[in-house]
Amino acid sequence: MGNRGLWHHTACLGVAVAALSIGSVASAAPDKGTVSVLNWWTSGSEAKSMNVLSDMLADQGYKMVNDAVSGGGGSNARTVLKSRIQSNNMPGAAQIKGPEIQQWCQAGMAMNIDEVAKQQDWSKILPGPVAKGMQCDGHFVAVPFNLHRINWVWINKSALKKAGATMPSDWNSFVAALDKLKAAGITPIAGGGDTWQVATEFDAIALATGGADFYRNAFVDLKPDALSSDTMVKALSRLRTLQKYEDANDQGLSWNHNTGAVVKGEAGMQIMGDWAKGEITNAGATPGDQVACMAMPGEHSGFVYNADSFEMFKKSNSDKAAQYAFARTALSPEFQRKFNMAKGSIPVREGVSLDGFDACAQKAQSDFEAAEKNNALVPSFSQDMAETGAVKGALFDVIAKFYNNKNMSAEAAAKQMASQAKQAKLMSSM
Amino acid sequence: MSDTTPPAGPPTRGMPVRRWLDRWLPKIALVPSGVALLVFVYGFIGWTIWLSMTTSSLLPNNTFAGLRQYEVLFQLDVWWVSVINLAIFGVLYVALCLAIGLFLAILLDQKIRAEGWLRTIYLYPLALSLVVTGVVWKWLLNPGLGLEHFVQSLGWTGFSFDWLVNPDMAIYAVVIAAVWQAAGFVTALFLAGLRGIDTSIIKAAQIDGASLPRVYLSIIIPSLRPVFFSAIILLVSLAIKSFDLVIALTGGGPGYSTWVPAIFMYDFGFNRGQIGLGAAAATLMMAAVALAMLPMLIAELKERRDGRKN
Repeated sequence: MGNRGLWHHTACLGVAVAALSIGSVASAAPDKGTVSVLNWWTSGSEAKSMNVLSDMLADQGYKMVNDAVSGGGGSNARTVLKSRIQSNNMPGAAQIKGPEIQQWCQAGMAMNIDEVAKQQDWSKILPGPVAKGMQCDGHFVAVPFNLHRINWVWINKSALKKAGATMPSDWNSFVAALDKLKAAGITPIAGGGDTWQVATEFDAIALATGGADFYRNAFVDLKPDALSSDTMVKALSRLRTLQKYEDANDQGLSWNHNTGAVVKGEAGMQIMGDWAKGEITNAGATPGDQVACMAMPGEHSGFVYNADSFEMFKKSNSDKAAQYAFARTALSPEFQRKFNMAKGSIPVREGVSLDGFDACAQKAQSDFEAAEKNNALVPSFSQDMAETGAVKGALFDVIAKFYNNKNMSAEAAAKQMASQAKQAKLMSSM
Repeated sequence: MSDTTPPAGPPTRGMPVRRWLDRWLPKIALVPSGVALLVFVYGFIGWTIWLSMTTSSLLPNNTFAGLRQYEVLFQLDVWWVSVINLAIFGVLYVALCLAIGLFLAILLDQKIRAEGWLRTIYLYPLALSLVVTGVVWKWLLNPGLGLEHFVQSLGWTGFSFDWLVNPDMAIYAVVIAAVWQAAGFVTALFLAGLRGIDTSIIKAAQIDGASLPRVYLSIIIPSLRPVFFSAIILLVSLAIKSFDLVIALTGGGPGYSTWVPAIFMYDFGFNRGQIGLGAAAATLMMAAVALAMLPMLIAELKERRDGRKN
């Protein structure tokens, strides 16, 4: 017994030593530099996609350290980022999106990656508004990974059929379909009160009601006369209308639970970004087949986007090559295809084949191209693409107050939006 | 002469060292924790107060802004909702915990059978984390899944209990869960206090013809004063710090109708990139704790000093 145990240990030791030496050989190869990547992509498909990127970088001789921080929709990762910057241990790249890119850049932290941008001709291959969002003082400082569409409605086709309704094409037929679903005893819209989900719905309604110019004036430029305009009042009234078709008991349920309810036919529709496709697929349905995707109907069409991106931070020169490689590889057609197919989004750069993507991604792509042509591509305010956290928070507060206080008029809410957004803007630029 | 002094040399050289050690060792041993306390508690309190008077937004900075952050804070609807919620929650939580705790303790003190079992049952909720409590009550109080659904399925179809999803009532749902969690603990405190009362005083009162309520009101409850004191200190600080229960139970919702200052501080400081406002909220929370504790501490210290004099 004792002898066998000893042998066993020795054998184990031998294996361990062998593993160690193999390990050191393997890690000796990527010696061209290291980039640590702070992100909050910890869920299955997202984490897998980051591993793909890490492998692709390893093939080029760079080491990618995947610093994934879970939880809080990125707020935990942002807290880690702040403390790492305070202790002078900043990551090479960090998942940051929207105007926060400019905030870090103004604080003097961002690294210029114009060299890579020029090599790959980013100004040409990226959509205009997205390319602009990656820049600060005319220099590229961040790399986009994908394009999510926010203004989608997910519809359970058989529930719609059961209720005797047809696919809506405009606002009135949309409400008519909701009425039929309600009459059939099906919860018309799975939504139910969580502020982020309500704001996501309002994002889609605002574009469909007011169009791209109105959306930009209100949520990107924060013009008070747009925020308190009749169009905003109309959009808020529509939110109030949709609220009647939501189950108040769903308060506190997460978006993916709501997507599940649509797949099971317990609810008819959900207004949500295209990350809902992951839940639909997990539940055994095919997006575009059992669960149809339709752009939020209204007077105006367009594309509300969320582009996930990584900002580069100034490090010593030795890390620069790895940071460049990270940015270059992220926008390579090969990674764009693999990553976006797994994530449910569409490639952010042109020239990537969409063969094998689902029907909704194909439709997103064609709608995106049309929107780009018509200047109807707008950054989503509910997903931190249009405003800083302070202003977004102020807008969310008003939307939450309006949604949860049925006595509050749409006019009063629009007015408060204008005043509170201005206040928050002032504070964050103090 | 020179022969007599050397033997006394070594011991006298050793004695001061030992005496020095005796005197200073406890203090030396306390220094690390003292320094840690000074830096990590008082140092950071100071830093937070300073940050609340700067323009700090995404990152802390040192540009002085006077009381600007406080001015903005007082104009925010979200802040006042948080403060009012804390007031409602704090008062009801402390009062209900004390009332239920005292009542249960008095009942348990009647030398009943299986007291040990009952005590354990009442104390058990405290063993759960607030997050678990929050999730359990979230299901129980959800109108579509829990109590309302259950009672309606029994036949009382008109029964309605939608506090959790009703913006005006949701904070009271939080009170229910919080009281459930802490009342048993307060019961245990009171029970220990009741056991410590000298029974001969009670017997003397009974011989003098005092009724049972009279005995409780005039003798037992007044002599539980120190227990009230510790229970209130504990409950008030728990109430002001409350964060995890609200997050687990309502997520601050519907909307922001169940926000409390701790959630405000976290959201503004860390999610919205308004560290200055978050620090201002934190400073006011600390001031509130100090204000709540100070009079009680002073009263208690005074009592103790008077007691010693007598």
